[in-house]
Amino acid sequence: MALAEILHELRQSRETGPNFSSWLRLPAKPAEYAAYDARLDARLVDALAARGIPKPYTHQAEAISAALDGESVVVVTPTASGKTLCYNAPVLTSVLRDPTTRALYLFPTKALAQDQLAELHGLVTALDADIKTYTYDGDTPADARRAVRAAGHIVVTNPDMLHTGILPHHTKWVKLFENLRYVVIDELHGYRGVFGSHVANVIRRLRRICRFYGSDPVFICCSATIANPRELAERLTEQPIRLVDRSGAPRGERVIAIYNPPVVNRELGIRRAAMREVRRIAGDLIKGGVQTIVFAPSRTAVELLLTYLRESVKQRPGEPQKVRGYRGGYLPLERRAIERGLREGEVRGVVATNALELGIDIGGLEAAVLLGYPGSVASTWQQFGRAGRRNGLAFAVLVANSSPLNQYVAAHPEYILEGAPEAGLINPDNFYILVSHLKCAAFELPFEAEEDFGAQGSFLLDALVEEDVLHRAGDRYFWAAETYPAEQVSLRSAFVDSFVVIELGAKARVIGEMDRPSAAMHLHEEAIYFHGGAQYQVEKLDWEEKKAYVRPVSVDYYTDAELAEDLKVLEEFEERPSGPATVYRGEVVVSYQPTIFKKIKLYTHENVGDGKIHLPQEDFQTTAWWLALAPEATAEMAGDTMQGGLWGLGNLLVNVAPVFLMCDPRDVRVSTQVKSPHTGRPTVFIYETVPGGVGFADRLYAIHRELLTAAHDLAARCTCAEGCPSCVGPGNEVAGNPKRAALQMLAALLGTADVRS
Amino acid sequence: MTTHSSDPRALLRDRLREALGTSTRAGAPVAPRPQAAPAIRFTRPAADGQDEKRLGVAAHLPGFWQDTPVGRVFVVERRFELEHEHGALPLGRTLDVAPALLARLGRDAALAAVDLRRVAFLDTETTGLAGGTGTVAFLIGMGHFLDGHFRLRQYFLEDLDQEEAMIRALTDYLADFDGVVTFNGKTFDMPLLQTRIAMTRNRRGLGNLAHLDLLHPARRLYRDRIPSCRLQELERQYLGLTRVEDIPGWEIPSVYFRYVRTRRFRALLPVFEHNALDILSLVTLAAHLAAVWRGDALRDAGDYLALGRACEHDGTHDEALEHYHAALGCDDLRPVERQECERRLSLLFKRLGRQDDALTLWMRVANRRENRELYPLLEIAKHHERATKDFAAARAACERALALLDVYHARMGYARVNADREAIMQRIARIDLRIVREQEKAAKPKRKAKPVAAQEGE
Repeated sequence: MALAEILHELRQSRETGPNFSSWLRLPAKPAEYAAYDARLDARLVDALAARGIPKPYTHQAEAISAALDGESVVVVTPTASGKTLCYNAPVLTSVLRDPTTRALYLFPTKALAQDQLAELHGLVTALDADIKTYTYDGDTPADARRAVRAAGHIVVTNPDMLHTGILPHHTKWVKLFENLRYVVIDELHGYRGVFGSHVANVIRRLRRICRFYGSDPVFICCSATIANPRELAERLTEQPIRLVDRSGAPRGERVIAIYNPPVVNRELGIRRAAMREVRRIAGDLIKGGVQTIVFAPSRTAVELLLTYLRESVKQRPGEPQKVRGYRGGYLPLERRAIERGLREGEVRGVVATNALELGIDIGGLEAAVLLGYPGSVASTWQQFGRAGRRNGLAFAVLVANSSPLNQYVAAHPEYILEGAPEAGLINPDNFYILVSHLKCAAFELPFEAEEDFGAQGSFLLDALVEEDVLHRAGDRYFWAAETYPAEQVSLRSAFVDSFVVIELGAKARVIGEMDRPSAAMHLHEEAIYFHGGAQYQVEKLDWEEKKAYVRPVSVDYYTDAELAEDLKVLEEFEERPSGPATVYRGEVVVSYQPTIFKKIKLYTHENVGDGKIHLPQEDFQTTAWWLALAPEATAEMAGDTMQGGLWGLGNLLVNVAPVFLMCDPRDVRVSTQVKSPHTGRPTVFIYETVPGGVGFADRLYAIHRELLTAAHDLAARCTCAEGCPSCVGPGNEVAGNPKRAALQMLAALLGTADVRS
Repeated sequence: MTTHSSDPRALLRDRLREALGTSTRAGAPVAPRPQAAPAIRFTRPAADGQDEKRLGVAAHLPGFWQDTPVGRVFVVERRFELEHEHGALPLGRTLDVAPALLARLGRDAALAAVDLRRVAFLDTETTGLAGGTGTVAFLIGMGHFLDGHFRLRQYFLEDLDQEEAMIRALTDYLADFDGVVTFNGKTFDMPLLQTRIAMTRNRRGLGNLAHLDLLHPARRLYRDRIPSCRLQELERQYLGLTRVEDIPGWEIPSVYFRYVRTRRFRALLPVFEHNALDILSLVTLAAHLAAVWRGDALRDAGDYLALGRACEHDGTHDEALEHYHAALGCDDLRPVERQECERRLSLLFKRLGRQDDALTLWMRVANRRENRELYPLLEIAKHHERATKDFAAARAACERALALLDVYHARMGYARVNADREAIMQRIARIDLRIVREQEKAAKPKRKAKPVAAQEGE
């Protein structure tokens, strides 16, 4: 069955048709071309013409000229708009002209680097020139490494390898660093939050090494659409960047839809489960022969959907393997096989986390189904973009779940379809991250006194001397420890240590990894861990050794852990009055401890049991935004009502915050205190789950009024009476009518008399 | 502002400690160690009236400040008589070693061209084993033979900012040499020095030095016989030297860091001694290995066997045969050594075309009651199959091999059992085919082909 027919049925069916809150048909867009820059090498222009690119799109021409001028650029255009040419053309021209020239390509993952290399090889072969391009990553065999170091014109790697494998050994890369002309950073939008903050520091280190060897490379960055590509590129590279953002690439026709599952209980605001709707829509598409990608928000959801979808298509023999899972924690070989299967068409459906959101080449899929709002407009469009990379009709649909954020988006489709995407936020001066990289940098080259390295760099050098990590001699600071600091710093996490998951059996084997806080939630003893569609039960969690031992099981439930949390203010950075309240940003310390877990039945989501978790309390420092209510804002509320209202207000705020932050909803959490020891008033805290924070709290402080407005809007539009999971949370968990109380508080805060409920 | 502490610096420092955790702290405190240094005594008394604790390297050790265009560096210098006995051997013995022998030890023809008086025996002490640009060689010891004595120089990094000068002095000095002798230098010391040279933007570099890393010949010789091939183990076992109160290698980085931070030099003295002992051991180890290779210092069966192996590798087959025979004649030959020796010897016979000698040896091994090895039986089978065309004997040898495989290898759970069995079965099948062909050939002139052969002809 063709895609068009399936779409027609979805639209017409009485069961699904009415639930599409938006159905947008984007027409095909023709290409806009320009001429190649005259400075490009003629051989290259010929080779490109021979490969079917006789002239560049307008954005390619602009970016190429800027790079040839020695100007750093960021190119922001949609998926499959030919971004790679923007950097390959100037790089190859420079190498053709001067064979000593070197370039470094950075991709966020190994998989992307390998893809890119295949494409580059094609072009180099067509050029028939002696240009050596190599990937250098953890998989590069030891005997090949020497050749890469000495002879690679273009070295393709990832930030982690640059961080642990290249920079700390820069003396083996003298040729590269002395002649480094271009640094390419693809998938720039992926470098945000903790990862971006780390990578910004890796680039600080890279530029420091370049200065040592006398080079000053031009940066060519490519990004998917975000609100602040230029700002992000500038923060990441700490130099002026030119923005190229008008795409000249053509696009096939696409249908973009938003689907809100029907309400099944108005009073309680309960809608039909999004998972079930996705299972149906994706099932129809895959059964109809439409190659489909399903994006799910978490590893558990991926595994659940995988089980469901395999079941729904298993009528035909041999088919289950045609639907595959793809997420962090799968081992590289497994991932490569799935990517290849998608490109070659053997894999007809894939259920993925955002691990596949980035530009891994899996070819043009026909349909993309999103289980829930991925957390940002930019990310939504990235996932939509997975459908229809080439010409021809494609379909992308977002199936909203009942979370407040999703309901906000479903009620305001224009927010996604027309609104501005979010900003990519990073905080290269996050204390923990900065210190980590300061150590790595000192290991690489001694620091000169007064040398710049992020905020507080020079003070921290002296502090590191006091801690016996560095030693000052003359005007320089030297690494003075036996360790290899890069090994202790993971770019992917603000947490240094990750846990491994080990399957017990005749031959114990490692099947996955997880960071520390997640481990407390998902790898406690008796937890059900999903991997590859299979269930495992955690038999033993060795907290000290950071190992979880699991055994395969077959049960009809999954587990969900609850945390007990406590928050204390360490320091206020800023405060300002806002109506009958004061807003703050500053630093807090959060203590958390998993307490119990619930066993939740698959399919029906009933609670079928629980258990205690015995793990130590952990704490971390982070940044937070908080709001303390003056008595006027809680006027005439009884204690219970006020408590319920504060609880609802907190939930609303933390639920809409990700709308403005381009972050995962798990990156921020809420804590409410009826009488905060710090402010002395009812206070709502929203804190970052990353130790030290990456800038979300600052952003909330800057836009807090928008945040309050969105929170008010969400609650006011919700159909429920006393609160439901889609707005303030299920009202039956607290006394009074938390929804009404929260709305009263918000109205007071916003200075509006209108109190709808 | 509300904070836990009123001093922002103190707060930052607390957070720093927390961020660093405990892992970056230097190792556990090291107890002061006695100065007793039986082999070499460097220490010279401090001048009167000075605070002994604060005295630097120059006050404790003989040597001189060397000026370079990029600063000065302290070089400890000592001379040793050629007769100086380091363990069982005098240092001067090494001067007798022919460069050609060095080339055999190092399996590197470039070593045959060196003049032993222009070879530096080199060893470094470093700030760690982690590698990378943050690991520094703070003490580089080098010794060489000069004017009838052995001169030991130790380039010392008095503080971390003197590295340019140290490396400059080192590369200038090494420019006059043909080669270096190290222990594990191919993996560790020389790459590390290359890194330090690059870090200090030194343009001269190490030049074209031939390099003999004694770890490799030592390992070839002693690999299976001693618990480890560490230098100190070799000293103890073969050079007649036992170190007393030597500082363990893993302690060295933290001792140096403590010195750098406190400027108390005395605790570093054992490191200088350790380094000097290492270098003197390089000298005598070279002489010892050369003597073994020359056939002068063979002590036991293991020596003969190892030397036989080395000769076989070098292509000096007659010598190899001689050493294997000698090994087999030793009383102290261990069973595993006997097995290896017989196997090597028999296969070498075969390679040299001495079929009868090979066969005799295979028979001897195969017929020994405790034999567990397949190879002699398989070799016998091959021999009969190819040379004597005695297929029945070839088949019988294969049958014996299969039996051995089943009664011993299979029961012991050897990993290769199935592959071995398959190979033997194939061989038997091939032999059977040839038996049939032979019979066919023999039958032809007399009668028509037998049914079996007729089938085959179809």
